[in-house]
Amino acid sequence: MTELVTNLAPASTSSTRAAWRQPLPLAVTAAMIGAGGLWLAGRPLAATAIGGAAGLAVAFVAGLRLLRWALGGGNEVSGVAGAVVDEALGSRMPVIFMVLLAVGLPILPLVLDATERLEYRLQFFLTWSLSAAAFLLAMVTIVLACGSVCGDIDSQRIHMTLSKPVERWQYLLGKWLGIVLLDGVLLAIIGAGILLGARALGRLPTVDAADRRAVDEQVFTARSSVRPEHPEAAAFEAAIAAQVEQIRQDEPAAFAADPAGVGRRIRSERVLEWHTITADVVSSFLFTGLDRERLAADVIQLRLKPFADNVGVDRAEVRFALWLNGRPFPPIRDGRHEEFVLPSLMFHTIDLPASAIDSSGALRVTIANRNLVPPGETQPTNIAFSPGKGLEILYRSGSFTGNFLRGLLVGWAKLAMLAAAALAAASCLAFPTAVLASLMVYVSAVAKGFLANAIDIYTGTDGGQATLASMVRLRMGLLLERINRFEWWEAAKTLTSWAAEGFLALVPSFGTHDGITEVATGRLLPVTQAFGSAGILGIAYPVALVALGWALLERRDLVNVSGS
Amino acid sequence: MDGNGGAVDIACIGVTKTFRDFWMRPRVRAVEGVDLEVRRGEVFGLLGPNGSGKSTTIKMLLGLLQPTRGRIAILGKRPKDVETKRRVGYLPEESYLYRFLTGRETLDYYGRLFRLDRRARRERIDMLLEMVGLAAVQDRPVGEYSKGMQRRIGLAQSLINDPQLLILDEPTSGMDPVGAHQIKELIATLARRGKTVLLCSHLLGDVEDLCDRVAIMYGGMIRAAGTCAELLTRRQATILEAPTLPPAVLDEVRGVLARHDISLTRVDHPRRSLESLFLEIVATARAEGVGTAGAGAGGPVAEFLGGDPAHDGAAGQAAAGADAVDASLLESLTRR
Repeated sequence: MTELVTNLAPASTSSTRAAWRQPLPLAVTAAMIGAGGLWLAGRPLAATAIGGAAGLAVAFVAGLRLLRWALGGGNEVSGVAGAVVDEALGSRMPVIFMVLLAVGLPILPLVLDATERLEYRLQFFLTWSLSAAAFLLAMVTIVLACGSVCGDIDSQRIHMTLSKPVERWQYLLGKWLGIVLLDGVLLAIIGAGILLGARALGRLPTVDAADRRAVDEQVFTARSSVRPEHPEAAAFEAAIAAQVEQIRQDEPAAFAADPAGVGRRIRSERVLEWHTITADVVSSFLFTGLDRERLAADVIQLRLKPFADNVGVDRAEVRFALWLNGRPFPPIRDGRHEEFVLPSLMFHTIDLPASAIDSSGALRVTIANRNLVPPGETQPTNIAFSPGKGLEILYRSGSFTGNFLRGLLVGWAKLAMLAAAALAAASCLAFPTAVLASLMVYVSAVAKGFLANAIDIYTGTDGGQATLASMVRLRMGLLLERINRFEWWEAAKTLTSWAAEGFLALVPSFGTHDGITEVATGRLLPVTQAFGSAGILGIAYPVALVALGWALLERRDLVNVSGS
Repeated sequence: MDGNGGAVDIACIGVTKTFRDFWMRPRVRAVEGVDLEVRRGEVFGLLGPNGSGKSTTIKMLLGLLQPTRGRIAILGKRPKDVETKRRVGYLPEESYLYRFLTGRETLDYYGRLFRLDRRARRERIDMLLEMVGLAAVQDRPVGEYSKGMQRRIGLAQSLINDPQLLILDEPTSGMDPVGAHQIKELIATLARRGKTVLLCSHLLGDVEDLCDRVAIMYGGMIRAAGTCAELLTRRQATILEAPTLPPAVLDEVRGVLARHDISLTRVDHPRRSLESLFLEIVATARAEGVGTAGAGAGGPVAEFLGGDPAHDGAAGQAAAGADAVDASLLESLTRR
């Protein structure tokens, strides 16, 4: 008979040719030519930036192709996951995201002030780029997860998938897997870009030699921190116990209401007292566990943020003398023990010789107040350090790259948790509400500490570190008290705060599972902590949330009723 | 229909579906007390106007909706059973596809859901694309397909697992008469190969052409059910067909009938259907090599679709040659 098949387009050989890929080789070639031109024109930084953007784009496409291939096996879950990746690529959303980052990241070093210390520029670059990537990826994850499930339900595509041998939990798991893997590729590529960008930035000239040392010793490193113990721990604890006992006898009613709270208050007062160095008192701080054999460098760092009591004087200087394990530091020269003079309310790092640590791995740092007497006063002002990060010893204990990778792992786990939360929301809500609910989870996770404080202020309670039992007791007491006094509005506030607190209790804190701050400040993110966070956020939460989504989806009639 | 031990592939007993609103108040009773039985190898038509409960019934058969009351067995098991779904093919009333996937990627996606390995998927997809006439446009995103082409890719995905039971909701909607005819031929061929087909359609002609038995729904209930012959044959009248009769012969026939006190109520020339005229014009144009921008003509019924191709009849014979569908098309025209 005749040739029946009518060719609409020339027969093509490639099986994958989504439209978005076509302009890419052109753009990359143009970028490479542009980078070459800039290099020849003596603009190596601009050339690196443009070349870096092109390289990121190529790596992105290669990574996605690899992902699509990896998900090509015959399996329901990987099938659904593969469709999510294809759908995401087809919608061009990650591409726009990549373009944003690919353009933004390499250009960032160009706009940074060249007169600023390189240490700060690097820390700013790392913090900004990692935070921006985390935020953008979080938004991509939420929109993708909600859009994917809600889109399937709205367009009834879900009927096609679920009429195949796919359980609803497999459907949700496949969606989650697709989004998480896509996030992984995006994060890996953008992470590589940030890492290379930071290394390139680190090669720029520094302001001075101290700046170079800071870049090497405080940014491109991973340092562990040791917080001080009281040198006479037993006496210190006994003093706290005695003071608590005194309150128990003097104010039995107040003590009985919240014994743990009283203990906490007394302890924090005594710790603050210990961290405050008056004119006539010398304070000592004991740092232990500093095994000299295990230290990777000859130098350890004393990091401190002193503040002086003289209110009203901006950046007042503090003046103090140091002893390490009883020996003056710096060592006495020409009969003089040199003092440190530092601006207050700023972090400072003082390099200490590792040799000062004794054989048991302990270092006792003694600080004496040498402040001058302010005009009109008779006593020099106090020097104080905030307990916690205000005074600590830091020592190198890992590599920057390892730390960076662990930071990315924690970031990825956060996205995995967010993807599962968005899928659970999309299992029972329409797209706009599901996105809002997911954003609420995101914001709550990011600002959990702040929100908990806000709720405490709103209801007039002290959430603090109380145990669950004492928290419930405290709140029940408060509610009954308000009802007894007919303070209905206050009682209602207590009740609404319970709902908020309950929700907040279920949301993990992204602040607790940070990674960005550690990477940017050269602090070690320990392997156990990184994998612990990854386990909690990347596995435990997703399992629970996908199970919740499945329970919701399983009971849902996936049909829009047309009749009335 | 025979030789299958009379197995029942779809059984519904007293199936009722009430949709509830957010507050769990009953809102719509879409299906009420439906009893249904579809036997192996049968083409069963489910008819009814819009909103009569056909699609809701189908979605319950597929396990997408939970019946409020009643029981359903598909291939002897619960509809939600994954093993059941492995043997069911479904074409929804509209082709709900991922717009960004190409035709081939779409079929590959559904193939993966059946755990077909890469090679099996490639082979089956090649055959299906050829069969539905989309081989030339397989690398275009389905979002760019015309409605008819989307129906074709939808039909192809419903067959990727070589299903025993095929549930087709409005399979020919949006298709031109040529495409609709091909789909009808395909359904007939699959039924001859022993597949069970549940066909849901507004196009009564299609149902009449294809179905062994039909059920007519209205208001969520089945109002009539039976074979087409039982439901449609008018026993009160007789039709005799003969070559054109001269007036004298016609008068003689009238005379014979008059002797038995029977009067001739209508004498007319039979008319061919508009569909057959249309199909003939298209077949002739294709034979002359006239080009078109639509889907291809379609190819032979995919080999992997189970059963015995020897039972295919016209379509099966045609499948042996490259001009498969046009051959069957012309042959079917000569039968009209």
